[in-house]
Amino acid sequence: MATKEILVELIVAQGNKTLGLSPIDIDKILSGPVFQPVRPKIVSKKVSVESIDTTKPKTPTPNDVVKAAHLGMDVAGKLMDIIRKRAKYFTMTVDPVKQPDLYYACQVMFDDFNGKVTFAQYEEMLRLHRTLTGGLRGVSV
Amino acid sequence: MLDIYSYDEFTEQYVAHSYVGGEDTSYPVRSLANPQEANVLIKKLYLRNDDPTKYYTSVSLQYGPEAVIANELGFKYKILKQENTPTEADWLTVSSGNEVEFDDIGTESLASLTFVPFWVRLEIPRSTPQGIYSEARLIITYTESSII
Repeated sequence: MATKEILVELIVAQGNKTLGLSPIDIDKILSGPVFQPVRPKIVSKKVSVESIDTTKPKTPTPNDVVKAAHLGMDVAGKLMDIIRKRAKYFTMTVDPVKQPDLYYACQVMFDDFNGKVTFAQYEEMLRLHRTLTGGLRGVSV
Repeated sequence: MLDIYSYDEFTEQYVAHSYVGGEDTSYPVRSLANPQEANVLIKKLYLRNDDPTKYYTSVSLQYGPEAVIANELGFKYKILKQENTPTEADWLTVSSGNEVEFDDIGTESLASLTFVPFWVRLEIPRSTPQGIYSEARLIITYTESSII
């Protein structure tokens, strides 16, 4: 007989119901060791990302946005999956150094972008990503 | 190798969770709770063999280790093996820390790579202090054999 132990983790938040998550600070969760980008063991698509200098705006292409939206899903997708049914409002800070592609795409997509992405904006980004990729499984962007 | 998977609706793919001793520990079976709003968490997971040269017998699953499951915080850990969403009545048929036995996964002549569904339920007291609790494990017990 052999055994294998799968890691289990529970994050408990209490208090402020406006965000549904506080007082565990959502920005810390996303930038800290808890919500690392998911690295699927079974994955059929590989995302290659070009380096973008956010200090020098360029004309965005649809593919830029697709790449950035995809990165966003990798970073925050699991968290969004968990809270989407209970949070009406959600804000995610986008770091221009750590997440240049996502930051750039947000600048392009949202006129009022101030370094943070709301839940509604994130949903919009996901919809655009699905539209541009045709919603096809295994599409490489 | 036996692993536990979640189905990711965004990527439409099954994703294997991290295990003790694995290289990547960034993907545990993770839950986020605000117990003052909801103190019962239910997830659908899958048990699967990804090795076509192996088959498994005497397969069972339970939460552990015992000292963590019987903690003073009053958490309750339950597992049910079924395809459809369990009802409250279903959950009442098992107690916290229960062990679930699975049918053999594959035979001595043919491996099975099927995703076998099961459900886990975590109940936490509403007064649970905020924080990250990561001492519990889902422990798979099995006998591994090679396909003849």
